[in-house]
Amino acid sequence: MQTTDYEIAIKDSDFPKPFKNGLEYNASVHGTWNIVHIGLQMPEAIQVYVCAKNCMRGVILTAAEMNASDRFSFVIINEENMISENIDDVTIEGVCDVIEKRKNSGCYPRAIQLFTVCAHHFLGSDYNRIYGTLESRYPDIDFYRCYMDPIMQKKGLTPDQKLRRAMLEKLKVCEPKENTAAILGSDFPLDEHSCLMRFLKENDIDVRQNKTCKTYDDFISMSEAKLFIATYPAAKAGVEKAAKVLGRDFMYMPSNFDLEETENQMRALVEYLGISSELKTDTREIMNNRLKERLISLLNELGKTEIVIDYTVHPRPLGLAKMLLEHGFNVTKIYIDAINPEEEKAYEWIKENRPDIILAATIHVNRRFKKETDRSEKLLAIGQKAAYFEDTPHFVNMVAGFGLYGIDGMIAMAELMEEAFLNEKDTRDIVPRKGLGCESCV
Amino acid sequence: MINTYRILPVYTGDVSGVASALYELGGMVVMHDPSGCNSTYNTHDEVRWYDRESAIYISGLSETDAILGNDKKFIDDILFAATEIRPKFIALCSAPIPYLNGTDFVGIAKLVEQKSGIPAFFVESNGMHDYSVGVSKAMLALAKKFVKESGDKTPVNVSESKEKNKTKANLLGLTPLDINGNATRVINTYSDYDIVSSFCMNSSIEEIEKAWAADVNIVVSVTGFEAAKWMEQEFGIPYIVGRNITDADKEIIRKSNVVINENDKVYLVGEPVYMRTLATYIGDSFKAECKMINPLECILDKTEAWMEEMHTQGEEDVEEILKSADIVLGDPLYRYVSEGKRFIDMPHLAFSGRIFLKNIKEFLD
Repeated sequence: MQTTDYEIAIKDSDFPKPFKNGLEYNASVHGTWNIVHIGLQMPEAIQVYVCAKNCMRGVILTAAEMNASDRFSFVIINEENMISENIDDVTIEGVCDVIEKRKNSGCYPRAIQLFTVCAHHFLGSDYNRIYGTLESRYPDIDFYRCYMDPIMQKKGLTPDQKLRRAMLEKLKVCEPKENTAAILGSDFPLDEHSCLMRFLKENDIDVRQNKTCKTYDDFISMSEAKLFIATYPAAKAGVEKAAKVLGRDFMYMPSNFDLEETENQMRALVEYLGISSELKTDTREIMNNRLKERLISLLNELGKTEIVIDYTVHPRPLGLAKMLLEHGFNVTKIYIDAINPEEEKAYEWIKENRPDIILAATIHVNRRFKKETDRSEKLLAIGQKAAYFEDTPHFVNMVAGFGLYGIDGMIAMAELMEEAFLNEKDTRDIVPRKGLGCESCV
Repeated sequence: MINTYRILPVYTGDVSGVASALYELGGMVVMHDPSGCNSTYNTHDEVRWYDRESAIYISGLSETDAILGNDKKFIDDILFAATEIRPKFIALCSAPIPYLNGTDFVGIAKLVEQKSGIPAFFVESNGMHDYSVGVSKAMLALAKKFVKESGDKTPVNVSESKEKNKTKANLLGLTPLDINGNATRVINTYSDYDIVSSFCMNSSIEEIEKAWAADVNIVVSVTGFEAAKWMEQEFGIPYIVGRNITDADKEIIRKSNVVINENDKVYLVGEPVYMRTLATYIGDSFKAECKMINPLECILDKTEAWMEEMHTQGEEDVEEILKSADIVLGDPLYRYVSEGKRFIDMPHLAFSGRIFLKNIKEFLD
């Protein structure tokens, strides 16, 4: 296959940045979650943004499209606010005004996720003063320090990671409860059928998750868990910090497609809990065989069908590619702009064993004009961006790992691939929708 | 406070307005912004993004480059992209941070033009205004850059035999933000004219260049007003302000099943030229008392305001004004602040984005 500066063979690529930075194109694919989707997982909380009109538009319509306008308010800032006035005062008084209006309309909030923006950083905002004043005026409201500051995202934590961290900052200091664990910071709840969840439940561990909290109090009560677990990379920094602050044990168990890595994670958990190392319902050998059989059966069905993967589908797209390649599938291309450092091992394996696999940029300027069409053979895309760029109706419609974990997660992925191979989806209708898995009115 | 909003959204921002105005002309638009402007634009404000290619990009400005004033990366990235895709022009627009750090966009555009050989210009913007400002400034900047008196007066898109007896006209102020996607529907209502160019839908840059040859400019939305005034000054082309009503417009009002009685107070909220058209129709047809509410930053000169117009600044303001109405006509999201009123839904892409796009498509089909 001919390579270009936006599609290169993995053998010619650099880790972890295979492509040169430049102007960026944004594809019409929006299933991944943004700070509105993530933050509004916190029950009863509202979001308040303080920013310029152009920056406001995207988040407010995200909330509107997920039928959550009633949980969203904002303060518009203009040139005068930034240059002649004090942006901190505008922020404080604006937020107070929002609260009073909400009080008058009978929807006084328990918690406010207050988002400041790039301009606050540049104008040297005094965050302690902003939050301190608000907390003293409204002591019955929990104010969360959140940021919509993409200018900061090329160094340090992204706004998404900072939000996941902020959401855990009001967990209360309390005595931990024995036999409790909290899985925190993920967009999707951990699959009930996953080996991790089954293992915890079989051993009578009470498992709490963001998604299963019905009230704000439920959310806060997750602090009672003795063990904090992060299974999603973007959650790691926040969950680890919360565990440290509250004196909890912490385990990072990222979802992946590597049997050895999963086994090591499960072994560490077993050692921590000091209990039986096997699931009562399934031995590891049985699960391994089940996965093997599932993949063989899928391979028989797909044959040499071309498979293209993208980075939005799961935090470990290279790991997924490696697993499929090892089992004989015809993976040809991976859409990815930068490589997760956790994927170095998978990257090196592919580079050595399948050096011609193509890495394809999604934001490169030329990508705007390079949509594949007129394909005679069926192509299976894993992920929305791959489906969009390859213009195929056969795709696994999933983002951010969907809460899949372990061998069961790998089997579930095989099932999703089969479903996508056999059935067409309306790509044009599906992929521009925001926040896959959230309510959508469009 | 006029700056706080409890439930209503804001209108599309100025940066999106710039991109929308220049979308169809084969140019390249670069938003100087860290992230978000491009995604917001193509998700909520641009109905053509999926199906029609246009070179609109974001610079991905970083904290370090913003603080240190590293414009070189920005310039190099533009030049690289220009070499790759060879656009007909390069337009730059700005988000808040480059505005705050005083980026010299005019100088950068000049440099880019010199180095690339491609016409380049800056559309004054800073992410703090609504789309009407962005579209308006983009159309004006485009006119100033490309409309120059030269050659014969024959429009690019009209054959000699066809155009002889008709008045030549430009249509100014066309973007999907205001006309909900279907430019042809609006343009067809001007079949008595030979259309020289339409700023900026269904026209090429070559047609735009010929705009000086028109006998009259027709301002079909408030966003075309500044370009019209400039062309009057520059080429002596007079302008008229107004948008013809279409059968589809009448159909929306009819299908709303809202009973309009004589002397009912009908308040119309939205883009002022279109709202005047609807107000005139409703006033004439039902003998209702219509009042215009303009929530946008762009306004018409008083001499052009043939109907009384009230300007609103934010949610609190509009909520207060609408209390006096019997009937409200506007984007369905205004229902949030129109409790107890009879309401005629008139989806406006620049307000509710794609939320009611299916409804819009239904009435256009």
